Amino acid sequence: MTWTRILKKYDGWVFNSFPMTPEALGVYRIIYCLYVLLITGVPNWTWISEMPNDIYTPPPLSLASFFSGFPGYYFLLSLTICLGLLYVILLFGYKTKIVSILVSISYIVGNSFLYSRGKIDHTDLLLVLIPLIMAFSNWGARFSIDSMCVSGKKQETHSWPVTFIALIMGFAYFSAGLPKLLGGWLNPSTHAVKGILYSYFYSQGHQSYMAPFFIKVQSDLFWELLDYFTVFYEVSFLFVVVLPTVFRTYIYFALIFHLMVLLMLNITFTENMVAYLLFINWPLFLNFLSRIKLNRFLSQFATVRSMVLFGIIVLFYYLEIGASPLSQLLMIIKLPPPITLLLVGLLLATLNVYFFLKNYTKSQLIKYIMP
Amino acid sequence: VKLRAHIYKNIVRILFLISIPLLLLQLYVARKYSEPYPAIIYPAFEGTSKNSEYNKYIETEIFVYFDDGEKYQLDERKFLGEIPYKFRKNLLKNYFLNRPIENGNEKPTYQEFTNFLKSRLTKMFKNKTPQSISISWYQYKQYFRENPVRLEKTLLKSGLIEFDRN
Repeated sequence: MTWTRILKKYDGWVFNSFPMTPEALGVYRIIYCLYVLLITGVPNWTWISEMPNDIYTPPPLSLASFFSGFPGYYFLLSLTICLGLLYVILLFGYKTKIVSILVSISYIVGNSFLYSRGKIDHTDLLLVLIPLIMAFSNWGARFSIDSMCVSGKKQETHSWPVTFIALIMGFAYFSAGLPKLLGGWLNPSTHAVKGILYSYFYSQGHQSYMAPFFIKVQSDLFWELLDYFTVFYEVSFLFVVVLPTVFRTYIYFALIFHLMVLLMLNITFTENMVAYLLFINWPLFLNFLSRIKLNRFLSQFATVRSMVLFGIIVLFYYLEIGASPLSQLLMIIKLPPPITLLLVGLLLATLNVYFFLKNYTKSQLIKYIMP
Repeated sequence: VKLRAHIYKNIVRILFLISIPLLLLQLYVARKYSEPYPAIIYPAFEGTSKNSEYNKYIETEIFVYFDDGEKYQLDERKFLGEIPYKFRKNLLKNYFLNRPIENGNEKPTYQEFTNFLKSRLTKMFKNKTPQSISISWYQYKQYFRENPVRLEKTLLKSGLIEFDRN
């Protein structure tokens, strides 16, 4: 293979693996912000100020390691309000690039102190990094105040940040799988998943959903297969990043994987779902939006006046109530939020695959799978 | 414009190229020393469980004693829920045995933590004055292959902190 061909292949992977139109990027920006504002909720860090400084153990390589204790209430309140407002501004796409970067920075600053209690939580990793990376895609090119300011002018957008997120996602899974591979998960005389289940079930009280059912399963083959599947799935995630269609299939299985982890171990990882959404079939989704005339609404909603109004509502809501609106709503109607969210995500992903297969001809499918 | 596009393309190409060794480096640092924040790492859930006859785990029993002679048992998860599980276990052990926390202050006084516990107890039990708090660590062995499942409980250690002395 010549150098030119290698470079062409490399460029094809970096720049064209997950093509996104300006419309798709704009819609994704709105969905991402709404996902945080309405579903996961903007984090409120104020309670950390109550923590005693005796337990302050920041990660040695973090911003918090420069401080000797937890910050005060008003600093954390300002940071919380700041992040909430930045999300509103990002939703309406005003100064999108700089605001996207500021969202991630604020999130990282707050989390640095949050994770100074002896443990780093990994569930919101992608949620934190998405704005920082997507800032370079120009995801404010459509359905935004920015796009109104330069109407008529063609705005350049980039798809490589999506590939970069895929790489990060693949590596994150790989980082979880590699220690398992080296740590003896494939040893048939041990059952790692079963060990985790027992530890979580008895020591940490994770006894909801299907955990009581799985705790009774005594089949060695079943537990060993789960160990093998987990290691294979997580380690290979990194390598399928170069195969977009296989990567998308992995994303679909990630939803099933999270659902199983939730049902068995009661560990939620729903924050990732908004990152998975990047890899749906966008032409199909945009076509659906234009059919229900939602894209026309999206073109008109981004005004300074609606941004200010929405900002006031968000500020008032988070200062008064403070929890994720969707979680509140689901709890009122007695539906467990994480499992509902995962099932809805899985249903939407299945519909996406179904309509994709239905709408494409055989030759188009082959071209899609092997571009 | 063409030159700028070319430079931009090259920067992106290099970004992807250098990110792979950088990602590997931060994984190495996290595994060898300590996990940075932020880092592109997911939880590994290391360690395996021997395919043995029993499952072993440690549970705590925490009691608070009041000046009127009454005592109440506290649920560790509810009482100190904001402190992550593993760190909480480590913290409680070191606090009651008056030892430093791993990666924390070398000579902790635990004064703030004592005040924190006391104020939390005062909020929970209004009109009562907490005098001391005790903790006992029990090891449980659960013989899950037996029918019915047999549970063995052994006291490992216990500790007591008197609030008045602090």
